[in-house]
Amino acid sequence: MSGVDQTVSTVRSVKKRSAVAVAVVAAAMLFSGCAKNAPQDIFKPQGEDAHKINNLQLPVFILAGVVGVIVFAVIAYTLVKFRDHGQEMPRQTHGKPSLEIGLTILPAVILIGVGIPTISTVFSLAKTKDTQCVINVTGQQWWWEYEYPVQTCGGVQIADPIVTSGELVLPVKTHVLLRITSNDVIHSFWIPRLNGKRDAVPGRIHPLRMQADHPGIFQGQCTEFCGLSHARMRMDAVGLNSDDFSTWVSNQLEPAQKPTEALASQGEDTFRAQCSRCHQVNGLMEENPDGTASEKPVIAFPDLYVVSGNAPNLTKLMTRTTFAGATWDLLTDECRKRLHDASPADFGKLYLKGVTAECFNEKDLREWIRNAPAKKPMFSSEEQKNINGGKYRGMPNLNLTDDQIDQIVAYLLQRK
Amino acid sequence: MLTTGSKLFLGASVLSLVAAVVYGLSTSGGFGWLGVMGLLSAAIAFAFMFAINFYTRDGNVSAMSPEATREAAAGQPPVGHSMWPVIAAVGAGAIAVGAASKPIVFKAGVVVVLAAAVEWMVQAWSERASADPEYNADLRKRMLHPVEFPILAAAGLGVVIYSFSRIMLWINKSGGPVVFVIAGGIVLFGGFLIAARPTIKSGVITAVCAVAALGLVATGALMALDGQRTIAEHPTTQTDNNAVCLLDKEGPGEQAEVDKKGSQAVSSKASVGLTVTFENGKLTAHQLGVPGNVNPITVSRGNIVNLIFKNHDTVKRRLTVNMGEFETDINGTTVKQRPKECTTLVHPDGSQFLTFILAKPTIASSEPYTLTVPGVQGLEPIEIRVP
Repeated sequence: MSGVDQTVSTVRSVKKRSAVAVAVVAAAMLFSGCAKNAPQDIFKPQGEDAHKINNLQLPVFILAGVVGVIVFAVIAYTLVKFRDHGQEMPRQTHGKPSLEIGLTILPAVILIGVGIPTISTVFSLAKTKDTQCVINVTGQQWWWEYEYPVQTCGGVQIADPIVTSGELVLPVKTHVLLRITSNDVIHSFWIPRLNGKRDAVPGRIHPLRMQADHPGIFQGQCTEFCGLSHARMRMDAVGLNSDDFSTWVSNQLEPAQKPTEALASQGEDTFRAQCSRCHQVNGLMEENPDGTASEKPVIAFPDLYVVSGNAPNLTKLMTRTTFAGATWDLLTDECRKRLHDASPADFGKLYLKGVTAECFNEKDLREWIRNAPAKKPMFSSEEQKNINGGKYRGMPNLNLTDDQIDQIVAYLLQRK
Repeated sequence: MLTTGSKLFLGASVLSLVAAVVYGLSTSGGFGWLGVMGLLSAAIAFAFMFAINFYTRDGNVSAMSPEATREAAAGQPPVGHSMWPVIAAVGAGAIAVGAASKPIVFKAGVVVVLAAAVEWMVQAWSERASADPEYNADLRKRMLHPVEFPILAAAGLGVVIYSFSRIMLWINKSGGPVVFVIAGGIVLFGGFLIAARPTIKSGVITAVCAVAALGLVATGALMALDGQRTIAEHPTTQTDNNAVCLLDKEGPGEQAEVDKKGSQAVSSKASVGLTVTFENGKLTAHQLGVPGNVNPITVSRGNIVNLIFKNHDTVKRRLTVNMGEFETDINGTTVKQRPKECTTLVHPDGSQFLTFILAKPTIASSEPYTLTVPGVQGLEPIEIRVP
């Protein structure tokens, strides 16, 4: 084989390998759309507003796809048919009014066809007059807090404000209005199956409608880069039917009870000494010098320690199924699967059980309490605190002993 | 024999050398050495120029060759009078006047002198670049137009913007939008007319634009001379004096808000979480996105609360945030503190922006957090709850 032939053969081989690689990547991208376990799939709406978005995006995607295929086909045909193979330069012409007018009118008609339903949908999604429930949503590095103001929410009376985090609990088939803001940097709230995304901006309130068709868990993700653990700032929306939501509200309004077990009681003391500077537990009382409980509630003051001025309220931690920005499960894999796979009819009862001793994923919570920054990237070492004007971004390593961790875990397991 | 040009540079070189010696002897320290080095550098540069001129005989063609003289670039007569010396003189005058009056005049003079110097040099060079006057003129254009056009365009735009801004700052606030709409309408209509008549002569368009520009600049100048309307600035919130927040009149040294709109930035007022209105002796709160009025309101702990207070009363009112009651240990003594924040007094039908943070939950305080208007008997306050 001559040198030239060898070069040609090598070039062909490289081209072939490149084509295979491109085909594999394209196939992977294509088939990833067929994944069954895709909780953030925007094409599987499960709420009124998400249905509206889907009803708009589907025909637009189809139309754009058809236009794209036609354009690429014409380009490919032109490239192949009129490629340079030594022929004479064809006759050059300039201007063809009928074609130019046609190519102006056709896209304009398509755009009008897309524009009218788009505007209609945008206005429909912005509607707030039919609100049946209001929830304040606050983003902070790197978790979401939800507050339920005093109101009648989906027919359920909320006599005192409720605060929770990680899981946004909604009454199903109810027009819920989220009032979204942020405590520190810009975040973005997105539960793809229930509605589009909305930025959370400090000092501003951005409303977003949300409605769930049926009981279940709908997963989401912060979609505005917000620092080290942006990828671990997740959120779950939990849909409950009216009765279950009423039960949930009643439970959330109850203050924490005094632990009954010895280890948990020790955990309360440890919690009071180590954790209550930032984490509020409603019902936790200060201790008198003689060791008895006083009438004075323990008030956390995270504004002195954390940039966001806030930390998750842990009064009802074990009524949630996740922690640390909805990143880790409080449930074991088996129990989590059972809950996520539960039918809408069974879901509420299963969810309201909370985290039981047999379903408790102790490992992740223990690791978190032992050294939170090692589990989730945060800006919370002593050096970083000094850079940050004396405040942490996220939870620091408290250097707790194994005994203290045992006690706190036992105490937290009763927070429901 | 030395040529005329070489004599000039030789003289300059010698003068620089002498100056360097005199300067070096008369000054000392780092600054003196810097001057000496500068003058010596100039002497060397002039000496180099002397050598080039001497070698090239000033670029002159031999006087013994009349034909060559006629065709030589250096032998061409000047094209005409130049305006740049006059402009440079005006710039020099501005420098002199500015040195004695305002720095801005001085700076403008320096810019004019530098611009005139560059234009003058390039013109002088280009007029003798070849024996072809047309080519020379084209050469100048190619050299300077890429610089002149953007600068002139920016300057022209600046004059238009500045003139328009003077007009907008002269007329009152309610008239501003009307003038803006009318001006925009005229521009749009003019553009429409020009577009509708493609055969219109460019001279007509130029004349119309010139008249409009002159009118704009003249009006702007007149209004700039008359001065802009008074825009008073006052603080809108009281955070350092709790006693003032309890008053229904101005506190010591306090001035009522004069701007009918809240005088904070537009971005702060956008998407505020709460609008609080005082009307007919009642205080009502409306939350963004929530139908109807709300009482109590729930706000996030440690989060910024932005609100707009609207006073629809017949007298000036302020909105006060009672931020609870807390016991604080000061030097071993327990003291009760009642922090407050409030707006300044707001004129009837005025509105004002207020921002505050509640860092502790409601249960931490022995008194509720409330919004109220001081001096109104029997007013039902709006309760704020922080979970």
